[in-house]
Amino acid sequence: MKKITPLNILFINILVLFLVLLLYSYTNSDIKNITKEYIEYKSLSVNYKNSKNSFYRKQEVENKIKKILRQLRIKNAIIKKSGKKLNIQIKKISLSKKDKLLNKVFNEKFIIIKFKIEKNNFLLELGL
Amino acid sequence: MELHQVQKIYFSQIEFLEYFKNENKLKIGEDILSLSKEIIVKIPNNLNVNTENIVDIDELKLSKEFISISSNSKYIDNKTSIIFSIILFIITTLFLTKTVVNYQTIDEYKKKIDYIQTAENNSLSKIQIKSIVKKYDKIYADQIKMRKLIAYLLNIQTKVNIKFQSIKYENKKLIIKMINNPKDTTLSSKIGSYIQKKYKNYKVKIVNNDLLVEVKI
Repeated sequence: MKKITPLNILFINILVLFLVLLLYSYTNSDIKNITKEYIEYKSLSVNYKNSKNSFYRKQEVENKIKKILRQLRIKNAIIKKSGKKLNIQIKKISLSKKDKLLNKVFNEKFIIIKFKIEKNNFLLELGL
Repeated sequence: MELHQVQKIYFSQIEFLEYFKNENKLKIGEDILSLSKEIIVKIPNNLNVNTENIVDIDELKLSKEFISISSNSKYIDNKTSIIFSIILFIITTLFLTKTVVNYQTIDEYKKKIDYIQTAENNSLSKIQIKSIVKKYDKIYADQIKMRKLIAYLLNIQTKVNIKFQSIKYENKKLIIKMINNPKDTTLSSKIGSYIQKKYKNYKVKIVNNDLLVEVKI
């Protein structure tokens, strides 16, 4: 059997170092890619959260509008839910209450699909 | 020696040729060899041989002097090889450690991405999320545009002597009818110039002395 000389060990070391460097360069490029992907996911997640929080959720819409009507003491409001919409119809509403209602609705996180204000009628359609 | 007594003839290289000088004989094991006319001959055991001048190979002692034949390179000696090996080993270890750390970091990022994907994004794909975000952004932009316009018109209402007769918003179209009393001829151009800056499709006109504003959001 041939004796292993220091020169053989040196060559083995060079070979191992080359392989390790190759592996290192691969992991480095992988890190760059995965960091980029993570940042993308994170920013997407933040955007998704913000988008979802821009408007009230389904149950919140109904609760909030009921609360506003209660606060303004509007008792003759007819609330109907149809599919992904919530219809609020108020016949005979005073001018001051109409203005207040308009003000409140427009300052809340509702998706206003449709509304019609005429004389003392108030019609509002909110997205759920 | 008669020819018929010769059993076998071998050809070989012999390093002990020097020992055959002075009619010496060489003893290797039980065999006795002699040199006759440049040919080494094995003397049969049954022949009586003079024991003088026999050199026994087994009794020869090796000299303490020796020449080492090295397979090393002429450019690099053993010591330098070892030093370089040590340096390379240290560098290799450092890079290997860094590589392991990199693998761990990659694993951590993968776990974080998985968490975001399952816990925060409700296992929705990237394309689905982008589509939802885009949809919400569009709705949000439209809502803001519509609300800003209404806020502006409500503000105008408090400053000048006009009253809303009706407000209608449907299919992203806002129609506002205002009672203009007393008639303010500059009002329509004032509202028009404001809307013009922010909205593309709009109409501001006076119908039966009332001011009609139609804006496509």
